Order: sequence, then C-alpha cells, then structure tokens
Amino acid sequence: MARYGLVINVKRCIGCNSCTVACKNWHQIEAGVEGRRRVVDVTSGRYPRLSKWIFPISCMQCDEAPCITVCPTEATFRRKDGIVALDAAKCIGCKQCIDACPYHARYFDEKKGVADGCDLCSSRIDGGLQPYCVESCATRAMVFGDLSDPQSDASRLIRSEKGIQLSPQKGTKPKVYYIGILGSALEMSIV
Amino acid sequence: MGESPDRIVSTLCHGCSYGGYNCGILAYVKHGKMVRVAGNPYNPLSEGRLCPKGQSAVQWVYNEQRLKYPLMRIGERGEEKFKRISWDEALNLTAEKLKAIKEAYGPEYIMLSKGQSSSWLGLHHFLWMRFLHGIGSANLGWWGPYVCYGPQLMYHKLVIGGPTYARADYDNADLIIEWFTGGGTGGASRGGVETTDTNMRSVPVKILDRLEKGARLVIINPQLIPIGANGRAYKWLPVRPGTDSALALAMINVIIKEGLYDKDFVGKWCDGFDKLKEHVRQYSPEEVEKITDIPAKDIRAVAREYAKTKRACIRVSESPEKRDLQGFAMAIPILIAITGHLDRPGGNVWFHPACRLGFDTLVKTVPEETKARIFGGEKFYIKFRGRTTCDLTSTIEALITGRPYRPKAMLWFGTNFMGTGRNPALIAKAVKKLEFIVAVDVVPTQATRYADIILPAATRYECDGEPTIWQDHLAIANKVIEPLWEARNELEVTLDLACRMGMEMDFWNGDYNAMLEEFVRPSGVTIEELRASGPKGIYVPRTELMDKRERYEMVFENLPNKKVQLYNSTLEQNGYDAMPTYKGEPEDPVTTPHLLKEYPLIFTDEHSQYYNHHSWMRNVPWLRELRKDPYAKINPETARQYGIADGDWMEIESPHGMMKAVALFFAGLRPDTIMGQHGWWQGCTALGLPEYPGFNGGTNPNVLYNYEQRDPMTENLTKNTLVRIRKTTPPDGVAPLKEMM
Repeated sequence: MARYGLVINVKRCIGCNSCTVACKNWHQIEAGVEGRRRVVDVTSGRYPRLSKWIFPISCMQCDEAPCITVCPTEATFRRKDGIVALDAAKCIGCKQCIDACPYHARYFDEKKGVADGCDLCSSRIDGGLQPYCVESCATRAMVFGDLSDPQSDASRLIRSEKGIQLSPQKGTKPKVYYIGILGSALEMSIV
Repeated sequence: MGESPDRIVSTLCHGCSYGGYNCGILAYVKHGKMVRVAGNPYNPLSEGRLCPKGQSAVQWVYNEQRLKYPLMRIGERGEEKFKRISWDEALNLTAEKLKAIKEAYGPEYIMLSKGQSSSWLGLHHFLWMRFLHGIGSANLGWWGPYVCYGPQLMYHKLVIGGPTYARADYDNADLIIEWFTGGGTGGASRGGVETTDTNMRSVPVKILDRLEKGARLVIINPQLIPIGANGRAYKWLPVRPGTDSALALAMINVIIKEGLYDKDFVGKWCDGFDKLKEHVRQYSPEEVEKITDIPAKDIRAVAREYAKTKRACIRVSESPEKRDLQGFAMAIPILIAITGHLDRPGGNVWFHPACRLGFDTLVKTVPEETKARIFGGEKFYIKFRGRTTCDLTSTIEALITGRPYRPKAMLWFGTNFMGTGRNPALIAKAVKKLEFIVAVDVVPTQATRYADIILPAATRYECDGEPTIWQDHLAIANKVIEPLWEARNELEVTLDLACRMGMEMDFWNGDYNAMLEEFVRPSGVTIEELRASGPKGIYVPRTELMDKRERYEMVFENLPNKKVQLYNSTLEQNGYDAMPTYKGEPEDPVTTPHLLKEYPLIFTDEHSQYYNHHSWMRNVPWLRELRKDPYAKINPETARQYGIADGDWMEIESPHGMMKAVALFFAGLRPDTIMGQHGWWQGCTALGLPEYPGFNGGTNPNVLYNYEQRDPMTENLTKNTLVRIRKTTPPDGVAPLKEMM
C-alpha cells in the first residue's frame, strides 16, 4: 500500500505564498481564517552577516499522529494510503487535535465550527492527480510521492539530498521532508 | 470539493496586467459561476504554475469593491458626489463632450492615459492609441515613460541600440547578477526588465533551475531579497540606495584598468573607448566605497568575476526611478558591452518574438502641426520617442499655468493618475483644472474620485479577450463568464465610443471580431483557429532571427557608426553628458550630508511584489491577509533606537512631505534605510481594512520625494530621499464612495 508524503525543496522556495493561496483557491477556503498552509520567514544573525530562511509549513502527515489519537469522534482518521484526513461531518469542534499538533498545522474554522487541515488533496489523489499546491507551485519547490516506493521521486530526493523532518524529537514521524535547510533553521518555525 | 465543474475555460491571468501574454489559467465554472482556477500546464511560459495573484482570480472577479455601474459626477470636482446613469447616457455624454472640445479648441486638447493594468503593446494599448489618434490628438500622457520602463530603455537604446532591452539569458548563464536599485524584490511577480516578448513569471524558475546546475547568484540590493534567501545568494552587495551608478562605474574602472574587457569586441564594435577609459579613472573602488558603502575589495571581486565569467548576465530594475538615472542607465549597458556579454549565450540577449501582433494606430493621420503641439514636444526625449507620447511633467505644468495651453479633457483607462505620479497634491491640483474626465476601471481608485464619468470595466475573465504572443506561442484569453453587474469590456466600450463620435470607418464599424482579426493577422493565424486551439494555443514558426546571437549589424544599425556608444555624441549634441557620471540623488548622505542631522535615514520603496501589482489587488482578501497594512521595512536595530516595535505605525517625514506606514522588522535591510512600498491606499472591505489617503499624511511614499530635481533628459522621477521617523498613530481612514458600491 502506498504511503504518501511530501518533499519540500527549500533551495527552490522563494516564500511567495503561492501554495498558501493555491490551497484556499482550490478548497474554496475563505479569507480571514488561517488556512491549511503558511509560509515561515525567519532571519537570523546581524546585518550584514545573516541568513534568511523561507519555507512552507502544513500538516506533517505524521505516521504517529497525535491528532488522530486525541480525536474523540474519529473525525480525524488515517486513510489506507497513510494520509491523515478529516471528516468534517464527524467533527464536533472540540479543538483537541489543534492543541495536540506539535506543528501548529491545524486551524479552527469558526464559521463552520470545525477543525481543518491539509490532507494532501486526498480527493485529487484519488483521481490520480497531485496535491494542487504541488502542481501549481510557482517555483516547483515541492515533490509529492509514495514514500513506500524507494524509486519514487520523493524517496530518491529524500535519500540523495538527505531530507530531514521538522522536529523529529517530537516523535510523531512526519511524512513531510525538507531538503536544502539545516534542522536548526527549520526549528525556528515552531518556537 | 468533489463537485465537478460544468465547464473549464482556458484563459490568461489578469494579475500582471491584462492584454498581455500572461500565465495560462484554466477557469472552472459551475452553475454559471467561476468557482476556482488552476494553472494551464500547456502554457509554455508558466507550465501550470501560478503566483498568489493568479491563484486568487476568483476573488478579484467577485469583489464587492468593484465598480458596478456607470456613474456621473453631480457635485463639484473632487467632492465625490456621483449618481448612477445608463451606459447610453454615459457614452453619449462623453462622445458629445469630446466632439465639442475638439471643435471648440482642437484635438490636442483631448488627452488619454492608461495604467500598468493593461499591457504595453497589447491590444488595449494599440486600440487606445488608435482612438486618440483617430480624434486627431497625439497627447498620450501616461506615467510609464516617467517612473517605469521607458526612461532607462531610452539610455540603453542610445548606448547599445536594439529594439528593446537586452535581457538576462538565465537559461545559459553561469553567473547571474540581480541588480535592483531601490530594493525591488523580483520574484514570482514582476521586477526586472521585461516586455511582451520575454517572460515575466518564469524568471524565478529559470534562475532556480540554473542555480541547480551550478550557476552563482549575486544580489546587488539594499535588502536581501527572497531569491537570495535560503543560502542561494553567493554574494550580496547591500549597496546604499541611490548610489548604484557609482558602483557600476567602479566596476568599469576595475575592468578597464586590469585589462579584463573584451578587446576584440571593443575594437570591432565600440566607439569612444579611450575617452571612457580616461573618464572612469575617477571611480576607483576606494573612492566608490565611500559613496556606495561597498568595500573596495568586494567591488574588485564582483567586477573581476563578471568580466572573467564568459556566460554572465545582469538583470536590472525595470524602474530605477532616479534623478541620477543617466549615470546608471548608461553604465550598465556599457558594462555589459565591454565585457563581451552582449547578445551572447548566457549574457544579455535580445529576445525577439516570432512576430508582433498589432494594427495601424493611425499615428500618421495626426497632422504635423498638431503633433508639434504635443506637451514637451521640443524635448529631445519626446522627439526621440517619435512624439508618440507627451511629457507628463510639462502637461501638469500646462494644466496649472495654462501655458502653452491648458488641455480640456482626459480619458483614464486603468490608471490611478495621481497615485502613481509625483507629487500627488500637485497632480490633483492640475487635474481639477480639466473640464472633463472619464475614468474607466475595474475598481474605484483615488483618481476616479476626480472624474466626471466613471465607467465600470470588466475583468479579463469576463471579456472575449485578446490574442497575445510570447516568443513563438499564440494564446488567447477566452471569456469565462458574462460581465458582472453592468461592467463592460473596455475594448468594446472604446469601439462603441469611437462609433458614437462618428469614427466608425476607422474602427471596424464597431465590429469587435473584425478588430481582433486584424490584430492577430501578422501571425498568419485566424481568430477562429486561435479560439479553437483550447489550452494548447498555437505555435507559429520560429524565425531565424529569434535563435541567432551576435546580431550586431542589426541591433546597432541606428547607432552612430553602427557601434556601441561608450562616448555618446548624440547626447552631447543635445546638451547632455556624453558619458555616465555619478551625481547622486536630490537628498542622500553623500550629496546632502548637511541634511543628515534633521533627516538621518535613507528612504526608498520597492517595486511590485508577490501579492499585488502596483496599486492593484489590495482589495483581494486572500492576498491582502498576507500583508494587511501599508508597511515600511526597518532594521530591528534601527527601530530600537527610535522605540519602535514590529507592527507599530511610524511617521516618516522627508523635507517634502510625510507618510505613515507600519514597521515591518527585517534584519536583512541596511540599518540606515527605510524601505517602503508604493501603491498603498486601497481598503479591503472583506477584511474590514480602511482606505488610506494618498496625499500628505497618508500612506503614499510618493509624497516624500523631490519632484523638482529629475533626470535632465527623461524627466525620470526619483524614489530616493532622506527621512526622520517616529512612532505614531494610524492615519484616518477614508470612507469609500457609497454611490459606487
């Protein structure tokens, strides 16, 4: 069975927020709510010796997902292909998943009274397509693929470019990998 | 989410102007409503990619802030009282008024201006030129030739010739220099030299692709821009704003002194090398370090590296906006030429399209005596441009003084006339002297408040749109939905107006399709074929010229001796400097150090960025929530000295005016510089954000700049000054025009 994940090539990200808006466009998420994606922009050091890092953050698609564990209604669940998804009809708006996520990757939709987060565009995947943000990324900075297949583009990239997970010490085993960035720079996004 | 669309329509993005070849969009329509967009994978420019502006197309179309109905002024000009009228009333009134002005005073009393919203050399541009020329006037007065693309291009043409800019050939470069005066951000939107025949949106992808193949990236910019982030900038030279020409001249100095120039090219293709060699002696890296704040060793290093790298390209800002434009705009093409990087792979190359679309603009029908009365027609710049656009600074002066004559009417198509120009208060004063103003736009702007007739324009997605070409690819913007409210396609409106003025013979008897057919004819493809081509569009045969390089005989043809002018006798004969010289800005630490006590910081502003296009699209909620407030970037260390926190409102005051902006902390900005952004005024109703005033005390950086001291030849306006800052309260919001909503 497939085990879908995402590789974010930070070397190609220019922080344009195309993916942030792409997600709202495709899923028709109105403005004013946090949405499923955000771009982190951190600058460290002192002028002129500094480093500036920009990269996107979304649901890490954890193999050991605390959002699934804490959900009292099984609204948050794991699909057979490993994707962490959410059935809004079952969500009672208790926000426990939002609190449990170490990556602040979920948000609460006040109007609908439900939690929401990225499910890698699972309905598109079911139709044989890629997640929309991956497809329309303005700089081709993301690669989607089956991590259980060592020959997939995503798996190859993780191997060859030494992909890292954000805060692996949290123990949730994310399936989103970053390449081209130091772990310490990545950590700055969730402090 | 699972719902399938009723139709998917292939069209082109509206984000970076309409009328031009933009990124390909597939618009999803359900129950007659455009519900979402996706990138068109067949579009060879964008290949399915979209930037945030493209992604938010739906919110641009269904935006409550749009102009919905034709309006007529009922109060005093600028009093902001309007009433709704019908299209028939509006167009008949306009036609009658324009005819009466033409008969009573003469055609030159009627002026036309368009903004960046509609593309350069696209169908809109052609049609509006034809409309004005049809009336008999040549007084096209738009801001582009003063604050944007035009002035720098003029100097490039005088130095290295060519039909347009010689652009960075990223695809083949081993060294890429992104040189943005005034801190432009480049990136997924615009920012850089580009027109109809080069790409806009593919620029970052091209750079990133090339970096992956081992090319090096040098950023010359007072701030570390996104393309240089994530460890990509191999070198970052944070040049002091306004001193770029000195840096370029020092690079020329090093290259000549160390014999690193391309001797064959200079010997065969350049005029005036000895004079240049003598002239640049004064720009030693040590002297220039004092001006630019770039260490002499770094200047030497970048000069050597550029000269020694065979495939090296430079991209410069599209709009340097400098009093010292001449120095910069001549030094850069000289630098490119003497190092042998001109029209060679990986250098700066002229990209020609396979053909150019267009039709006769009837410019030849404008009588010579009328052309002679074009504003600023005696100036070299206007003459060089073939008197096809008038001089706007002369126009503003004419409006105020009545000399040599005061124009009576202006037609504004998608231009925020006083927001873009300098200075806004003076322009507003001038505009009030007009007898008749028609403003056509998608949304109300600061300028529409001054109009007599306001006409609601349809967005690109509501128009049976125009054919466009990029390189050898033809694409068309197909209509996605019918126009909302009473909005209408501006092209149709122009045809309609022309017919009502009795000019139907020159305007295809109002037949829209016939106009499109004539526009696309140079390609050999018919409009029906193009419409039927769907998302794939049509490729026309490439020409030999497109893929050739070193086309020197052709591009230098109009230069004296058919050679690159390192010493420019044309300019000299017309009373201007023959060689580039660093002169500084009206106010900066080097030229006016005495001002530093009162105004200790440098101020400049960025060009467009990812979330808007000039003053467009700040009404789009998905975009606006990414950057809610009018901002000015400030180094946190500088802010601390003034007790300013991230997100505080700042008062920014120059010797010329005051604006307010929210402090945006950025450690990657020179500590002596405040980096604003132009185009801030619009509110965003959906997010409850108010409109801010565009005049003194508002959020428009243009109030801060020196208006009197301009580039001598092109009248290019500066965007560099000195300021003082302090923490303050937000500006008072401006109520939106109720009659318009």
